[in-house]
Amino acid sequence: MTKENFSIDSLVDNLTPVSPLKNARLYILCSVMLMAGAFFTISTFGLRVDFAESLYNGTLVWKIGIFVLLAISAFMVVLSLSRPDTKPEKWHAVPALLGLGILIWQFYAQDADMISINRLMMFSYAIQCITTITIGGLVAYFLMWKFWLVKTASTKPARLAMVSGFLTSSLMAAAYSLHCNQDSALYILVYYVGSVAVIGLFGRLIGAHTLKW
Amino acid sequence: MSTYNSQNWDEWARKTLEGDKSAYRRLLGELQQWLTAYYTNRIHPAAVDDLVQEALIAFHTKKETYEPSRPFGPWIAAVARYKWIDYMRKNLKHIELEIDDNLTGADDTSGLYARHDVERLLRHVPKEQAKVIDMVKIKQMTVAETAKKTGHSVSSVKVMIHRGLKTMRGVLEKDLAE
Repeated sequence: MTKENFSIDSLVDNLTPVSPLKNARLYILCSVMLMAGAFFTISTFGLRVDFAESLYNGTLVWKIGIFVLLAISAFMVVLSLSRPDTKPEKWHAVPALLGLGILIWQFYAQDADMISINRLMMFSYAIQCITTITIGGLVAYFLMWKFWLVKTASTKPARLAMVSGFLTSSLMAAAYSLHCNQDSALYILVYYVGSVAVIGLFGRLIGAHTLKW
Repeated sequence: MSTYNSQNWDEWARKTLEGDKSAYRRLLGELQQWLTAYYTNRIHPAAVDDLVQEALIAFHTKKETYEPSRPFGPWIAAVARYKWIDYMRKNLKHIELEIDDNLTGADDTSGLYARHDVERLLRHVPKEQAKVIDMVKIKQMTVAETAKKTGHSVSSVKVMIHRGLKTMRGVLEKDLAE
């Protein structure tokens, strides 16, 4: 329907029943993306070599936790930005701030060697981390685009597209943590959070115009 | 005149989602009146019909984002507001392009609407910026004439106009966020 052939009659003639956009759809989509990401990580790279130990000493929990918390915040913001009459609340940022708090706590808790610049020099690990999180995040982003974003009507399309990028790449980062045994807070900040930020920026760039309605 | 709090809207909107054409026709009829009233005091009268159509088409294409358990009024009000702010943004952009291309005073229709609508936002802009925008965009003086009259350089007048328009865009963004 365009302004050129507009009339109330033509709108009425074109009416077909539609199902309202359900929040459960996004919940299911994110669950599927997280499970698919975990399956891909384990089947392609395998679990981290010290999986049992990292689970026992809590390393795996806080590392995955950072990105799950970020994804929870992003999920709530995406939901509230998807309709014209709802908007994000301040408390939606609480999980993301908790995740940030965990990362900052790790900077204090880890010894000097763990957060030294040398930890960033493991390029073979880093390339795998970056490519998996960004490419996996992009694949998830396009799924989200197809099954969610095109159906939304946001009054802040650029912001919705950006936070959607944070959401999909955070899910991929959480899934990839099952394999990666680089636990340095600095490493996570630069390569993990950096990759998440890149997908968010990508989302903002393509979403600013394409999600306008 | 249709009122914003029409109790029938919620029911008609729910039935519209189910594909009830008669409810949809009644709802569109009332929305057309309400939107016309909504935009009449906000934009150039000649542009109202176009914007009403845009809002109704937006309703038609995005109706699945209406959540039937919530009242319909705030949903359509948010759509109307979004369309209005988008229209105003385009107007500010149009004016910026005119300035950049030295087309000040061009007598095209969209420029005329843009000038009319921008007048309403001038009170949000610092005095000196508002003055040059008023001279160039409302009184139709050239940038060079404005520069001579105000004692500023041509480039300084252009910068002031750009800053003023940026402030106006900020006002619109803030308006949308509220």
